[in-house]
Amino acid sequence: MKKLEELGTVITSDILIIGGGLAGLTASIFAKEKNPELDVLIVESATTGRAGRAPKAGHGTLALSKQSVEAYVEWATRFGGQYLNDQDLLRQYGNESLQALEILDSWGATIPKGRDGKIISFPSDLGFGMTGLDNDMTMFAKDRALEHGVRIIDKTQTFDFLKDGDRVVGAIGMSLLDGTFYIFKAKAVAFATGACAYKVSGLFRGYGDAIAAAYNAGAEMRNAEFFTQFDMINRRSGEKVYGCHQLIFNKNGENISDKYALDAAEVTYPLILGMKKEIEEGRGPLYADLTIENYILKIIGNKNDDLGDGVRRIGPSKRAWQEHIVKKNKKLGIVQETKPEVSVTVTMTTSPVSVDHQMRTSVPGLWAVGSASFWGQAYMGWVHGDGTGNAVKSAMHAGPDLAEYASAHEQGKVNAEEVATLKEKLFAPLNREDGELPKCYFDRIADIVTDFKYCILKTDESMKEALARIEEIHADLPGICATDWHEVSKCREVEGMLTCAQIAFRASLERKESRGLVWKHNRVDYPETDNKNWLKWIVLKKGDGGVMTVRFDPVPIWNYKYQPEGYVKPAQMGTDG
Amino acid sequence: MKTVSKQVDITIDSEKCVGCRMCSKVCFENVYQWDEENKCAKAKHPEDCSLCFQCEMYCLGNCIEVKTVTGQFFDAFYRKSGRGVDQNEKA
Repeated sequence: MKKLEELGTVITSDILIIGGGLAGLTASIFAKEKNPELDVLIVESATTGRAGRAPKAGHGTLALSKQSVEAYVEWATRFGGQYLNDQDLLRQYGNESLQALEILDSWGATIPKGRDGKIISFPSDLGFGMTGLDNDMTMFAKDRALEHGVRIIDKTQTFDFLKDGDRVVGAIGMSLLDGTFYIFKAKAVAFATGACAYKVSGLFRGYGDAIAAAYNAGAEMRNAEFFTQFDMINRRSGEKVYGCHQLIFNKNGENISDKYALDAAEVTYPLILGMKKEIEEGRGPLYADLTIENYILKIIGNKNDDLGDGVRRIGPSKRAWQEHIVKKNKKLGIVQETKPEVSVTVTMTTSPVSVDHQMRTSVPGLWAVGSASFWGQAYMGWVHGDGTGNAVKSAMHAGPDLAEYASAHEQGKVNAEEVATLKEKLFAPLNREDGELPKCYFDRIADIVTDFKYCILKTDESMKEALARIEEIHADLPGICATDWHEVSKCREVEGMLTCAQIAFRASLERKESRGLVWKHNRVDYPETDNKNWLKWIVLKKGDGGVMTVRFDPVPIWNYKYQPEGYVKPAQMGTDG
Repeated sequence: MKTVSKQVDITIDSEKCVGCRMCSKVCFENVYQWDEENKCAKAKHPEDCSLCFQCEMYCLGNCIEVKTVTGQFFDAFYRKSGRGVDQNEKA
């Protein structure tokens, strides 16, 4: 049997962080601040500082003043997560909202501040505070990480996690530049690789391969049934038109936002179905009238600009990018319109890695930070623009915990035979000549996950059908082929995406009720919210023989401040809960 | 939901490429590879382009043009949408 060193390049660190976006960088900085002696390594498939979702943001983020935290917690509980929230974590995040921004500010990020040097918080469309945040924040985080001595390897992707008994002790990886095979060994491993977005959500990418790797390593998944959100788009340019959801008109000039979703503060399911109906009954095309003075547009800014009081919301980096895109559109004959024809696009997010308040997964030695565990954290306090807040806040807690764990543990043992098997599997697509390229598989998966009957009009039958179709693609995987290192990585991303879809549909099949507002789990056959039977988290795990197991964990509502009307504490919980 | 097949065409003026490799650096989808033989950037995987246009913005030789044939987003109601698409197609 070959030695580990004969199989590839072995790289050892105290802490391995997979993903060089905002969450991964923040976790690395906090780990170093906790214990500067630790060797912290970031491995990123693209370029650290430019990767992840934060560099595509820049329209604003949640900035809760102390006075508005409780209002946010109540809103997020009653409407956002509809009582599936971990209200303790939600409140903690609310309280840390400004702190997270102050950290970004201290690193050099562009955030509007007053003459007193304090971050300015403006009322948002939901009534909570928000502020501007330029999209180059991740570059400043990278600078800070490098100052702390964090090591970075770019253009290198990791795949399977390596285990010593129950504990994760590393991962295998490959250079996307030259195919070098790596064996990463570490005392503590975190992944901050984003949610699985199924390659259908515009700039928000994320293939779910690390989520799938965590699942395969035994990590539990939670709240996977909440994976769909809708946004309005300009049908000509394909760009999102934020803040127009109260201003949608049909061809007869009738305001259909009022007709189907009066005063809705977000793009919600009744409006989407209403729009669909209008088009099907011949009252399309639909358009958004951006000339109307509307409080949401006023706050968001229909030119994506003002925060109010003359303060710009969009920073210079984001502004330059937008100007370039406007120039591109002009070249293609697409100009800024005041009454654009609108349609609806879907934003898919499978981010179900179940973690505790330190972002520890259920597998020892493994953390999931940022949007990889967005729903798995169960705080369910999502509002537009708070992905950055989640990245920083989750990493603020994960970083020191990673450092403590790494300080208290030795390197684990890596099994060379296991590595050899994983290596062979990784490179197998290069040896196939007649198969289909990953692109074909991505298109097939996208066709399924974005289908209305699977992502929003869910039924028992449609979920079983979706799972069967995903399984069909899975059965074809032995035929997937690659012609270079890039495609080798894509083959594994296809596999990861299939696992994420399977997790999302299986959880959707299990939850026999409807719940949620913006991220709606809608069961046509169970249209009501059933607080009597479904105040439960659905937890999925890979069981014996690879079979997915399902567990139903009661949400500890009895410990929380906000409870549904008529809530009765389950008798079996006793007096102590 | 109707899927919209994405078609992105990326051209690089190899005469103007200065070899800065910024395209590769800023691209988070690893669309670009370095063509050692011709000493020039190459858009090897345009199928993975997310249409952020940052390669164009940061290119020091100003030699990249991302041409979109069809947008890559998914449209809930129409078969085709986005840049350069016939908008008259019915739902």
